Amino acid sequence: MEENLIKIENIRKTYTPGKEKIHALDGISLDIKKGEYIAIMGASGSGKSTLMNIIGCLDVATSGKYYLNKHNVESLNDNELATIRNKEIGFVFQTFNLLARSTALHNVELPLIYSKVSSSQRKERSIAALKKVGLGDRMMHKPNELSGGQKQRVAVARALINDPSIILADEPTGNLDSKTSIDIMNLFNELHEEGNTIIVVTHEPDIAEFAKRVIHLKDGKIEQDYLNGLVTK
Amino acid sequence: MFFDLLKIAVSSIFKNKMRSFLTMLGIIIGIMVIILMQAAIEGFRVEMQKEINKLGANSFLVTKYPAMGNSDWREYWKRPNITYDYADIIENSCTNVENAVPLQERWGQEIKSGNKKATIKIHGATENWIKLFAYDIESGRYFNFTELNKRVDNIIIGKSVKNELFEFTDPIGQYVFVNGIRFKVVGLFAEKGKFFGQNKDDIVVISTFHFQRMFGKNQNLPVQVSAYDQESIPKAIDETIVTLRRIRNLKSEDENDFEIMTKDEIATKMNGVIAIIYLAALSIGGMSLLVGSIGVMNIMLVSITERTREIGLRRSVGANRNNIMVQFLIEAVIITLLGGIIGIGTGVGIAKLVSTFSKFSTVAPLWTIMTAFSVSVFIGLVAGIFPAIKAGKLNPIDALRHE
Repeated sequence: MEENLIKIENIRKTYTPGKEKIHALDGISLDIKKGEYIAIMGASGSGKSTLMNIIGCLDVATSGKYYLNKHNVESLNDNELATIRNKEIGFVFQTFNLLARSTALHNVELPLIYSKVSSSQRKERSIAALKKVGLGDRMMHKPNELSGGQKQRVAVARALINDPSIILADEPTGNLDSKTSIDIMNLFNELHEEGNTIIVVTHEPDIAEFAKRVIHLKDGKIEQDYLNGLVTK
Repeated sequence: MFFDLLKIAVSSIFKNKMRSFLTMLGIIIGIMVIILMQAAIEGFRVEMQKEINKLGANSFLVTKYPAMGNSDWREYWKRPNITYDYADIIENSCTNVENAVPLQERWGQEIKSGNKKATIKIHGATENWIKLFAYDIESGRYFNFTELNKRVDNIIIGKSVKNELFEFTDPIGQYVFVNGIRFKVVGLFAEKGKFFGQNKDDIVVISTFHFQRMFGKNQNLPVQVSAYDQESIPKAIDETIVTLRRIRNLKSEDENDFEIMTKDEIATKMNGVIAIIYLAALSIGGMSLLVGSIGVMNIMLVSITERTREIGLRRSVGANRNNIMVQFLIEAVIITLLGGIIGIGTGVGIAKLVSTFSKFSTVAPLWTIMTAFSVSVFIGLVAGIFPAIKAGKLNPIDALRHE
């Protein structure tokens, strides 16, 4: 039996922007094993972004328990959360979030700066990561000299650089055309086959098709949780 | 880690060269102003000290008015004048006094030769005048002893007077008019240069006879008294006071109605005045630095708003609050530090240029430079801390979503 990488128990997240409480997450429990490839789906407002933020340790739940790689996340302070994000999580964003005036290489080595890796090692590892995503010849290019797909590849290389426990992609194809989207999803497939744990947040069924397991959220609750190919649509 | 954050800060400053430079400008100007003012004041102090030292090691002045820094001048104005004759009386009645010299001088007078004119300062000659004021004769001669108090229509002129009246001719033997009296030029002083914009070469020296005829016998003037040696100065001062009180018929309860100024007293008074100028200069410089630092703070705040997504991204890949805070704090400090260095450089440079191309000497001592240096760092910390804390406190999720 594979160990649980992520164990979420009855998580709730409440916001009080005005007088009324909003339950963004309303009692979610979830186990994710190492090496899984998951798509989290749902309409906007379903809570999928909130769930992703909590899984990504950018946010903490109002109540409930979250264990990531045996770390009890809700007991961690800001500094410890930063360390977890640095070591355990690789983010890929819809808008790429690259440093506009820095080269691809510098963008990729960014997480290593915060894990106090020496600059020679940083460079070595970043070059390797960029080669892996097929950008060995674009290392000194700045984001404005790269296509959308190439930018997202840089972001994927950055997510991979610290060898994280999970790669967390938030609408990774949202700003890409369909052909490039497929390229990027194929890249995720490759990473999955190499044993990486991948969670993709998306509202596009086509993209969710690539994942092995799909979790549907609605109104802050899990509506469906199934393995692709086992359920007929 | 610190070194990496430093690199991030430096590179973001250089990625926005124009803005960074404009931000620095406030600091550059502030520091430059402080360095320049300081250099000018220090130069002024050194020159003043030289002037005071010219008084001679064993000398003091007898004057009607006290040295600088007194507001109640009406009281002093009522006092009787110190006149030419006092010098002889002091010299003859005080055993510890080697000599007493009346300093006869008048500003803003006019000298003419043919159709040419010049504005001059007139000195009345005394035996020791040329030694006392440390002028050298370039050509011709100084007065001889017998001419000093007689009606001798000789004049000795300074270099600028020569340049204006006799540009291409030898002035010796030429005739000039001062206040309607015709003088024969018998001597030319060597060039002495400028002292704080004040020309030292636009002078003429005439005999005391003529000086008194022009300006009156009982005009107020300072008398310079010299004792034989350092030890006899206090005795010479006591004797001078007794002599003057006797001349003035002062009763024992009356206060002195004249001033005795020793070199030390003049120096002390001067330092008091310089301290006030310093304070004023520091306030002006400090004001520009304050404005400059507000500029830095403002730009840091703008920069943080602009780079909110960058902050969010850095937080998401593992930067903690301190990392972000330190990054922006370093950025602010580097901006002010660079501004400070450029300000010191231009300030010292301009001061050097001024010294080179004019006789107005300026001095920027090391301690000012060190102070300016640390002040720049301090300003960076002060101007940067609030924006840096703000940046550190940004919530990563909101920062990432920032448009």
